[in-house]
Amino acid sequence: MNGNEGNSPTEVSSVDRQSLVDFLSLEARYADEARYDEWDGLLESDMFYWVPAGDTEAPNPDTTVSVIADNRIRLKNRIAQLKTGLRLAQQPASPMRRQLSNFEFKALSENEFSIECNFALFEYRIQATREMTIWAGRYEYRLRRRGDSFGMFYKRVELTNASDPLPTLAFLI
Amino acid sequence: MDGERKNIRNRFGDDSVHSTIYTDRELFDAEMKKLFYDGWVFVGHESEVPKPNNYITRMIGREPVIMVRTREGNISVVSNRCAHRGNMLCHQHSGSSRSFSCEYHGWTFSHEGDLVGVPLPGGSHKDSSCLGLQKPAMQAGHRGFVFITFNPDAGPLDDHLGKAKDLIDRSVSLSPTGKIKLSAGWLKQRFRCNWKMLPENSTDGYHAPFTHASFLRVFAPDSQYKMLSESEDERKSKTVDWGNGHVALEHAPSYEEPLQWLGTTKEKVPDYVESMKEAYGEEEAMRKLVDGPPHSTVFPNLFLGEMNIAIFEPVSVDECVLWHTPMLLDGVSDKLNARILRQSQAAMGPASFLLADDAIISERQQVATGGRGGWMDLSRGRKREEKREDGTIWGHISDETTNRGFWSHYREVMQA
Repeated sequence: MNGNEGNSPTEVSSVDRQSLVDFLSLEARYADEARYDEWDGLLESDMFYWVPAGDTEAPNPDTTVSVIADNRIRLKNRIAQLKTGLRLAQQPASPMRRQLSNFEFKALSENEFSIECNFALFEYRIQATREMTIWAGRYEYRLRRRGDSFGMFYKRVELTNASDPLPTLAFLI
Repeated sequence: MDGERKNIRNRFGDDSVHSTIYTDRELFDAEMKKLFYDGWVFVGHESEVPKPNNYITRMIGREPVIMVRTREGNISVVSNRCAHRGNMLCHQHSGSSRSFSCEYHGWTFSHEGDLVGVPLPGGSHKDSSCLGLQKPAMQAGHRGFVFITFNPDAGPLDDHLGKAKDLIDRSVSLSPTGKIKLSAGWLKQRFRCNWKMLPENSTDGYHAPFTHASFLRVFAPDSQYKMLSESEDERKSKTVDWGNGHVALEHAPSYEEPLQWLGTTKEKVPDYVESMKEAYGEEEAMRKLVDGPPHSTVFPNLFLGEMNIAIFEPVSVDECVLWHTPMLLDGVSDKLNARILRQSQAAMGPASFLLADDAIISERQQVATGGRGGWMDLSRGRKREEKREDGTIWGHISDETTNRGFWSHYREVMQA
């Protein structure tokens, strides 16, 4: 049951909605503040982290280029590289803040949810050009119930300008 | 003219280059003309326009062009600018169209650039054959790689490519059918630096243990990248100046087993190994599979980056774009191509484990050279490099043989 009797199975109760938003706010905060271990702790073992790219209307991580298409192992390596303290592209880590809005919720099953929202991310490129870079697009997350909270097993980042030149993106978007 | 020559000459010292070569706006304009319009440049690969009417758009220097497969199946390149009032004809990166129609006044051009339709023709009295799209002076190709020049006196493409033809052959012959397919799309990374830092950095074999220290610490153990962290005496790879500004890091001497360059073994991809043997014979196939792909720039804007094809696109004196797409192979399994794609993603692109860090260095170089600037030393290895009978120069992998090769050709062309 999704805790919201009488509604269609894809609907999400207001209680769950609030918990999901709380989770995503925390996820965004950990990413913004380069708290890599805490961010990593939110992930499930089947995590897939995907930022498609290029002009294709039907992106596929196996056949078309992606900015990022990390399975759990590659994502662990990405974080390990950031944590060496020698990853020049994030040395020091970019000060940044992101805002999430326009949430849409869907229950995939009793215990799994899909949430989509728009985002605007303001990144200060402190390592080199010292410019404020604006990243914008849409997030799709898939979360699974884990105790009182959730674990994330999918995050897709649709950049509005994914088919055009992108600056360095070595942080967790 | 003499002033221009002196302008170039004054930027070169004894195995050194003055950093104003990255920051001078007038020099950038001169490069667009001499290197990108008057020389041979790479436009695209035929596999990007597989069917009649398919087109892609590109920037050649600052000239927008369209590369299209005509109805007859030929490749045509035309300027992406209406011959009437200069509107851009195709604003998408790619598409399919039977002709090019201008959205400003409706003039229509054939794939070959001929003016074939003008609305309200009563007012037109000029001979329409004078009103076609501009075209390159010459267009030629090698193994599907299409090159153009706007200079009728540029000489044959073969003369410009020289030994780079063998490098292209080596790339495509990793396919058992001898064909590659650039079908995965392009990822474009913006660098706030001068475009020449891209070919320089792409064939710099010295920087890896420093710029890529974080990468080597996490990924190098048990990988094909292990060689990048070896000591000076242990390293077997070479730098090569192939002539004409084409320069390479030659990793073949570092490989002992087939497919090390792809991070796999012949036991894991038996179908691929078998099809290579059938295509090239056992001995030749095994040599190809041990040596792997070239890691070489083709002057001025193409990079055969192992299993990536990349393009250096200048935007302005302090901005450029590095395009890349995985070099997918024809005649192999989807699984093998997916591996190539994954490897490509790890190495190149704005979020990759390598190029993201190179970009930061280039951007810092651009900031640091933006003032008075100074001389940059490129003498490393001059005393120990070997000039072979065929004119090629071979250096230690950490030596600046490649940078010297790039700059000496640059200087020759810019001074001509």
